[in-house]
Amino acid sequence: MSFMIQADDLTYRYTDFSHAAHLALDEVNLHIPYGQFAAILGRNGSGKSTFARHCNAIALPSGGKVWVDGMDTMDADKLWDIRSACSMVFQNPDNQIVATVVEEDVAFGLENMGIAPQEIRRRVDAALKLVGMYEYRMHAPHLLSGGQKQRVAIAGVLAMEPKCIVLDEPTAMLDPQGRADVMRVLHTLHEEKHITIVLITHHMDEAVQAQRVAVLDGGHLVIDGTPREVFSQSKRLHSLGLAAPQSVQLLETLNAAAHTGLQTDALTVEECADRLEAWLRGGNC
Amino acid sequence: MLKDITLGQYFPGNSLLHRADPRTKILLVMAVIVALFVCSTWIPFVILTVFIVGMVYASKLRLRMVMRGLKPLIFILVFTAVLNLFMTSGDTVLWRAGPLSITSAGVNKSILIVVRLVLLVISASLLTYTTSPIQLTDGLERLLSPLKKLHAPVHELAMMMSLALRFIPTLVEETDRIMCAQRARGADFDNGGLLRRAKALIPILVPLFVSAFRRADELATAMECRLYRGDTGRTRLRQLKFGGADAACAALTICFLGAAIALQLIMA
Repeated sequence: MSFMIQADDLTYRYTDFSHAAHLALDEVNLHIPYGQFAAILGRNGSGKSTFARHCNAIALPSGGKVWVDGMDTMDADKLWDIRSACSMVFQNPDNQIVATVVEEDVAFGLENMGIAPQEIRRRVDAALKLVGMYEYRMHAPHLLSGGQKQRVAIAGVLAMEPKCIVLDEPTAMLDPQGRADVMRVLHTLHEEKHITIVLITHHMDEAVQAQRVAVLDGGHLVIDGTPREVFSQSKRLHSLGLAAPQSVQLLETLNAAAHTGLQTDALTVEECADRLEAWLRGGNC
Repeated sequence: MLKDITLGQYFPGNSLLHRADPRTKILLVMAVIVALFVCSTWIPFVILTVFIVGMVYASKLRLRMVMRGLKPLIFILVFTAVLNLFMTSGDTVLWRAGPLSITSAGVNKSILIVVRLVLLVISASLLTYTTSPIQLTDGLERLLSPLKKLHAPVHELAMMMSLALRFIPTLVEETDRIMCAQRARGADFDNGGLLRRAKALIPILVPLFVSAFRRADELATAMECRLYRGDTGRTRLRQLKFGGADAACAALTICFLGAAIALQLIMA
């Protein structure tokens, strides 16, 4: 099987307090190949976190199938194999740090896997160096900043050497500096370690950095494509409760106001500036 | 204000006692406690006092700081001293007033009991002063591990203890935040009688509990994601190992305790 995560007709049903049934996911088909950096977008209640929970069998499908690294998540015998192939990082770093010392927390997963102590030491040091938290290895986690805590949490799953890391809004509680640090770490993992990254987010500027963007709404997969394809459809995004990057919005406003006919798929500030410069030079000549 | 709480009262350092294995320290403290109860005459007590005060110096803790740990016990100390002073019957009566009398045996006994209690508390706090909470839970888990054969949940208890220690600062911070939020809404925690102040705590406790349960739920999920499945097949990053510091501590303790108990037996 050539997909890291393969969701076929994935449906997830739940009942709330008043016993009304809801569909959090409705026949979602999403295949994420090995080594891809995918972002999953969607407004609150779109089902994006529910999808994340299916990626390492915390939630099990009510209908359809999820295959993780070729293993069916319904197969209870494979549960621990699935979870070691695909790790997960959550939104609140405070609630996923287990130990009172940074390096002990990074070691937690490895201790559970029954790895030999010397090998734990090697992997803990390597993981902490990769996320840039090695100098803090003896610190108490509650004294770190949000971004630092989240990097410790990433080091904790990284040390387990998974093939895939699913991150459920890892930057939602962080300041801009912490967000930038976490995103830099994710790119390093993707490029140097070739780890498949599934980033659940509602920050457009983070999704832009991915190779692929999938948009969920009301439990349906509504858009799936490269960031360029997805973010040039700003009207569609708007109707889904999402905003296109500001660079796209600026070019569209210009097009509407002055009929400039600019291509609107500028995903970064630099691209946007280039477009505008080319247009200004063209206009001046 | 809540941030000043130091739990476990661990003072980092690099002394002989700091370097010793937590298991050694736990066992030796237990031996010292037994010795304190076995001895009942003066000379063994002098030996034990010299030993324990020496250990406080060796661990580079300030004696004043250690004595401060005795403060909450002052009431119990005075109470037991007074009780023993008046209630011990003896031949040589030093002072008598109505039904109350002080005998020389009573003076002797009450002083010995106060010294015994003080030494007891100091030696137990030496353990927590020189051992980090995580080492302490590790040590306890290892010491109690034979009980696992009887299906006692030793690992689970140790894990619960270390998780509780991990979340104390987080929940203290949260309490602070909730108190501020309730103050901003006009709550008053500082005025009124006991009942009113106790009532004022309800709007703090309810959100605190709700949030603690939510945290517990998320933490459990995160632990499962990191393959936690109890004690089975688990290894440890930090292996507890007995070393030179343990041998030195054990040798010192055995010498002093041996001398004290031997003298006690000879004199008795």
